[in-house]
Amino acid sequence: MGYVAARGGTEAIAAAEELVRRHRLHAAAPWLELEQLTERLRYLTDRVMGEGGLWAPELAARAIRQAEGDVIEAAHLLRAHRSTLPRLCRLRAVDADGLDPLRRIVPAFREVPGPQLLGRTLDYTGRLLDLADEDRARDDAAGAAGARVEPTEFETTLAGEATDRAAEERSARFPQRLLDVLRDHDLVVERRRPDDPEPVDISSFAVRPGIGRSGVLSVMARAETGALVNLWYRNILGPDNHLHEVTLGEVRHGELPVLVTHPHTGGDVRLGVVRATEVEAIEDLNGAEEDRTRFDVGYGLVAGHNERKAIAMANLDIAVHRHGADGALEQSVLMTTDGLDASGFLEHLKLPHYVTFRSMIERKQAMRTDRARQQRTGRHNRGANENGAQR
Amino acid sequence: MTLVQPRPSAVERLAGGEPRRALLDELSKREIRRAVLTAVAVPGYQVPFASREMPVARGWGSGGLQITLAVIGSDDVLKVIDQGEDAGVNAANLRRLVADASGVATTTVAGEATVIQSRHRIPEEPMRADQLLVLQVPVPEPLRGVERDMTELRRMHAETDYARMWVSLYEDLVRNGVITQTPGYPCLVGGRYVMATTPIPRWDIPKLHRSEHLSLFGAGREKRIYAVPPHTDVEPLTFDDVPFEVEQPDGACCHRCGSGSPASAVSSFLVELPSTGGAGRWVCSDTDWCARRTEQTSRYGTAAAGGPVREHEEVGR
Amino acid sequence: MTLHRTAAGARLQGDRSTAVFRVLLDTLARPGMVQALPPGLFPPGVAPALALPLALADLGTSFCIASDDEAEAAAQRDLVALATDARHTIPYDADIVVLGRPDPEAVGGLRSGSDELPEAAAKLAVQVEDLGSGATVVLDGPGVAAPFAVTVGAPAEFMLALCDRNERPPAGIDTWIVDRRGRVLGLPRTTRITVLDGTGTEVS
Repeated sequence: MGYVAARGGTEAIAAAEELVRRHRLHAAAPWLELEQLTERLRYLTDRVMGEGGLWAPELAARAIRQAEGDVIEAAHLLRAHRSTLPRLCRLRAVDADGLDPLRRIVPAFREVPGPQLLGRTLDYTGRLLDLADEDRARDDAAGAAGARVEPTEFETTLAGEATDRAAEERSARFPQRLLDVLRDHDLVVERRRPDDPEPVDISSFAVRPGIGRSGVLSVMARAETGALVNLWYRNILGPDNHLHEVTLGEVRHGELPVLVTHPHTGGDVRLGVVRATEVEAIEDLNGAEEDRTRFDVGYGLVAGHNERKAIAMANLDIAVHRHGADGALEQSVLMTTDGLDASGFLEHLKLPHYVTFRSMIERKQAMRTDRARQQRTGRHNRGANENGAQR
Repeated sequence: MTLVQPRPSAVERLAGGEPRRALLDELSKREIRRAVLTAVAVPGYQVPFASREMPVARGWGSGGLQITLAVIGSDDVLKVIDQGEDAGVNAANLRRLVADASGVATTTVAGEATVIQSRHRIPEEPMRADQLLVLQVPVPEPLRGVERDMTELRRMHAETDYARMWVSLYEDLVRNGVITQTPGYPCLVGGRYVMATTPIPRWDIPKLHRSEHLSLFGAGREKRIYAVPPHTDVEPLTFDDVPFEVEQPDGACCHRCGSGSPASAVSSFLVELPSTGGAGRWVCSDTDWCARRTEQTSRYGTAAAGGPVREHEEVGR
Repeated sequence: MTLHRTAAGARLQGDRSTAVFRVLLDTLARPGMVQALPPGLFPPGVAPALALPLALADLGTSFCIASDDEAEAAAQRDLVALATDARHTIPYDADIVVLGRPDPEAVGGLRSGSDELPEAAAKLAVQVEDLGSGATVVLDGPGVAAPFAVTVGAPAEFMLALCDRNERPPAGIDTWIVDRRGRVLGLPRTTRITVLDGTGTEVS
């Protein structure tokens, strides 16, 4: 019973906390500013906000710093913080057509309505470790710090092409989505429903199979990125095999407005914006019962810039829809992709389990005692004694 | 940061000016309370609840913690145990969190507590009607061993279709000679629902049957709450000719308080202190109960029979 | 402004909210055992049965208040809506229902959940004059050590209507009967209720 050594578990915990605190305060490196995380480790803060289910860049940065870079731990800090906040009102649902793109690519076509906007991406930067002299890099960064950043040629394209008329500008800023083009050509199965139900709020409702598409999408939007990518890959290459041939329609990263209804005027009030990544994935239907003359389109939308996760989400949206009847994939998506759930349960194995383990040992011994008795009496099993009625 | 720092007047209006740093806002507590009431009204049924994230990880008592925070008031006295022990690190941590957030008094003496949160044990001292037991549950679904599909599991509970559970117990018995189901032994509650017993050892299960106290079970990760009200049948699933067996090591007794020895009128759930080579020693898993018996023995030469010492004087640690 | 002031006084937070919940919990766990709401809980004029929505309703909940006195019901609706941000709705859609009097007709129109969704059942508070009067019933089931008789402040017809709804648990309606003095008696859907007439004979 090693844990009994923790007579005074409180003291042991306090000592562990003190070690954490001491190393945080007396680390060899200078204090980590929140800006350094939000500005220089953008993907990290975005990922923590997405998995934490809370848009709050500075709080995410605090969480990352406090968690010493552990992503799941940081997401946990955000979610536990959320649990303490009062629920003030419901936000208005916003149309994703209102996403103001910072980046937009459409792999499925060469020329599309609106621009192909590569934007800020690491996709085409060579994966060569930057070995520039550290002092020089620091000087460069310091020198550039105060300078005004001119828009690049590609950033100006958007505004430059459409200065004439407001409508044109709007169509360039908020281009028609590929899905609408496909719909015009009658190439997609109809998945829109005539009613417009309120989306399921997974933070106030226990998810379980049958929750509906909005619930499945919400779970994926908050899922652990790696878990979602792995589940996607299992369906491509692994035993699940629920995805066939996926092409990406839209991949967008941009800003979405946050709207509330004014309690007195009833009008929309814009509180601010959140960044989000949006993906439409086109699946070539090949099932026996499916409409092979058309495509199906899956949808992904995650907080912050996280294309990997949004793509996996859009693909899995179709996969759940196509194989909803057997339920197994839906259950996997709903119940096994949350980072906090999986990691927490895994790590709980570190807790003392000596009571349950004692109970398990006792059963092993009981089995042996029973076997020894059977050998003595020559009885082989209880199967011969079949009158065991249910109590 | 408009979304996370709303106008103070609105916060004041809805959240109230909590002087302490609350771990759950009032609305989250209400949602848990509604689920708890449904659980009490339908004994053994797993009521889904939102399950907010707590300052402890999923699997570390987040379900029990949410229930405790939702039920506890400033008049309450809280005891928290893990494996029967008050001093374990996890128990100490949860106790500290609740005390800091709610300002309640804490105790290690079972008889003094009004709310007892526990993982894996029920105290040896019989609980009273004015006490409430909150158990932390890692896996609330008793049928998961025979069925994985959640939709089918719902159907089975809805239709009281426990045939496959019985078959699996029977096969276990035939194959192994005994029912090998270890802690978390499945029970039929109120003659209606099969329920997972958290896992507490089989030793503790009779303490749930027609008890004086209310037991609440919280599974935070799996987002389920269930309950056993007082005076409710909790019957371990077994067969007429196969008596339900609790853990009772032959000839073992607590080397501190003597519980379980021929001279002792009481026995308790014992855990082994293993030693390499020779026979291990045994000790009560309920450390507070054991400590007070030991104190009694050293003071009066004999431990009180039939239950633990009721006196509440300081126990030397 | 009076309404706002009353609503502010009726808003339950922190310990007051917990205390009311504990009464609801204890009375539901021990059917038929009467407990009193904390004294001075609400401003004068707030019906004690409103303790149920005031303690349990919130932004995500719907409630319904039904009463013969339409003006009184409307005032109570505004009060609960203001104090909890819950949404008022028709009886069948409501998560939490308050009946201004033990009206047998009204019980039929409430949501009782199903075998698959016991949690969809309504929670009901019934305002009565005095728990010491009304029908005598014998209670048995979970939470009851041994069957016992108790007066419930509501007439036999109401109790029979409730028995009807709770015939097939886990579907049913969890009920708290609250009298003018703030005394509460809980009847979960799993309680078996036998209604006696004046002579102590079972009414069916």
